[in-house]
Amino acid sequence: MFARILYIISEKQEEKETVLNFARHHNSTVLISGISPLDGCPPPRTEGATRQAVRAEDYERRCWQNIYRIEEEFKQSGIRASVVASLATIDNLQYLATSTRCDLIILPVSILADHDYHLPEELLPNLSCPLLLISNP
Amino acid sequence: MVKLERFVRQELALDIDAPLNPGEIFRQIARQLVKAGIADDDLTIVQQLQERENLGSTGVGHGLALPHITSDSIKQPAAIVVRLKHPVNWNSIDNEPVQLLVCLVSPEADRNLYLSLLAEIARSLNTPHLRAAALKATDAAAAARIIAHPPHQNFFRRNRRLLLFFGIIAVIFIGARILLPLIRLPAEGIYAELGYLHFNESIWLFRQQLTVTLFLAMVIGTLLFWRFRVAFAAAALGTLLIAGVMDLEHTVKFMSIPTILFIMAMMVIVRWLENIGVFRFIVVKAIEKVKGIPWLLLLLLMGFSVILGGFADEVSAILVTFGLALELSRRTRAPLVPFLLSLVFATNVGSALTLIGNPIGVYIAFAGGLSFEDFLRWATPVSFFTAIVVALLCLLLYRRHFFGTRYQLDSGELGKNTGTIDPVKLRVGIITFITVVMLIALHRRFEIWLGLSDGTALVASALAVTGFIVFYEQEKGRVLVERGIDWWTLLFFMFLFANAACLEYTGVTTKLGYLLLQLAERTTGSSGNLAQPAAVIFLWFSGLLSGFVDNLPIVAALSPVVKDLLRIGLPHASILWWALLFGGCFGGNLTVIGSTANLVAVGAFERFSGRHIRFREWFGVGAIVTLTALIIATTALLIQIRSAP
Repeated sequence: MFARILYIISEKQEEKETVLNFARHHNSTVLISGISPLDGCPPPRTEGATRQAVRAEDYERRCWQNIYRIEEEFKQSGIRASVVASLATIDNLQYLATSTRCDLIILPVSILADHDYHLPEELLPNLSCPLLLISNP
Repeated sequence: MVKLERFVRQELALDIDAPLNPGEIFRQIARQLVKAGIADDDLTIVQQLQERENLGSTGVGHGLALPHITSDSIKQPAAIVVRLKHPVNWNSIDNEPVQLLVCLVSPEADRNLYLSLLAEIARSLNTPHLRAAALKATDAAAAARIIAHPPHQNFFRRNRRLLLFFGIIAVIFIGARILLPLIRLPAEGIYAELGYLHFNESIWLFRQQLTVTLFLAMVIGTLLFWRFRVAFAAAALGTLLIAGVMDLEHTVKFMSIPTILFIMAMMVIVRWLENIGVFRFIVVKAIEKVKGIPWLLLLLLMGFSVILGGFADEVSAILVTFGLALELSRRTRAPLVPFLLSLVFATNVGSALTLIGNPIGVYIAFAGGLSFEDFLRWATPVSFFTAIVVALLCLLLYRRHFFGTRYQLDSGELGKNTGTIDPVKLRVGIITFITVVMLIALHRRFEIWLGLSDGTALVASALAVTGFIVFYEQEKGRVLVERGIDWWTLLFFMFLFANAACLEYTGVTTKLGYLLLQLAERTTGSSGNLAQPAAVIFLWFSGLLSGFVDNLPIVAALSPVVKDLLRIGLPHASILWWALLFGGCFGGNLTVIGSTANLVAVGAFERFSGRHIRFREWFGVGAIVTLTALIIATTALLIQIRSAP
């Protein structure tokens, strides 16, 4: 039913078991991406520009490591998985979903923390596939 | 942080000129690894890379693939860059064929380093300018060098846009200092009678210099940093106040509050009509009658774009008609680009149809004291005729998409679009829409009957209908006002109007008008019909510039010039209002950034199709349509110039 799932990973790793089981159940290919460090709320004003840039770079590096770690784990569990070249933002999620031709987007709730747990107003009516929000217990 | 240059080795980079399949490419990589002493057994490497590929493509999109394995037959971590002369299908997530591979191999024991390397390579290639540079590299070694040693972006390169901005502003400031004293209004004649000679004094010259610089800083800042347009407009206004060029009283007066109130009220009305599905209902019902004939469908949708562009607003028009084109395309696989461009062109041309179609129209109406009836007399026929020509032109340009085929349209499926519309609200909506158009159309009559000043009934009608809608919707009415009004844009308009009016206040536009008259006199060789060359200059200047810069600042800056030319008694000068309107609206078709409708439609197109519209793709057709529309407008203005007051 869901041949291609777009999984946006978060810094919390617990959700991946849910996605793994879901993908196994539906025999899906999982496309893995993360959220860009530039998305969401602005960095603290008390930090200088250089410190902010270093922090964003660290976050991005960590994010890519997590993406590939999760890809490894999925493949070791026998789940077909691919990495998406670019990091997403919540606003361009629809574009990412369309360009990857996915049938379902799985988004951890924790990602929305920087957006006050709101999805952009125009996202849901325009999405080309269902969106599943997951939260770790 | 790992240093990529230690692992992405240029001497191992491979250029493959022959068309190979993924298996053969893996064999070449494995042979290279064995040759370099990184791996023991090439067959094992090939087999593991293949197995890995079977578990999910390593094509990450954008023409890139990152095959990666850990294996006991690898002695040390290494990345090989492979450049393919013949891009190969890699089952990438975006279906793009792969032309550059970065293959990472590592011993099983170095798993952490392997993940760090993968992350670093992915991070590098996620940077758009690096990715583009690596893909465009002349050979594989050059691509490896770019990935391993990302070119350092120094301060000047990082901030080149900001530096360009400050550079241009400095040139404008110096240029204004030199040029403005050279333009002196003549000491006798109409300028002396109107008391404009103080604009030649040094204090006013400084004010003019500052006003011109700040206004152009706002326009250029808006062009270069669109997201910060309010910031630029607010900063410019603040500087004018601090420098004592304007006082608070004039600033508020120049913000043109009646124009803002009218635009605000119309935003609520149009958003409400859009929400309850009035526009959608009308268009879907009409499409059902067409029975899938492609060219008729295009003409019908273009017709609705013109009408909605003229009577609602350009953004609502394009959202409704292009939204339906997207659904048509989804069901019939109809090509989307011809629909996108044709509908945007129709919307922009249609927005000049009436006073309410475009903020430019509203601004011109209030600035020139023009009524809806004036628009019906001067703008509607030209806009309507241009729309017909543009529609035929689009059919001609895209004839292979719209003739000799027929779409299989299920009217029941289309009907689902209107299934959720509340019939009672729909009736109320249609009655309200007709009422508001009638009230606006007759505003000048009401003003004469009731002895009101110009524009009062126009604003009052829109406000009264807004009041009714908010009352009718009760709790939802509050949400409608909060979210239905684009407060950010309105704020920008207020600051922009005040900045533009300051050009008039300090005499910049008077001098510009004087210069224009001199230029027109030299062109025609007499002081006879100067409005003729002035109209052509205004139309083409605003038209061509509107393709690249937001059209409202241009119109706002030129409007005081028209007012001044009217004040000094230039015959037929009121034709210039229409030159500005047509230039501003028709010029929006030139490029993808020409108008808000273009940006909204392209955004929807990209989300739907997952691909971008290239500048050339738009400009090729946009230039033909814009030039045609401007030629029609020029002809219409020149023919009618003698009837203009």
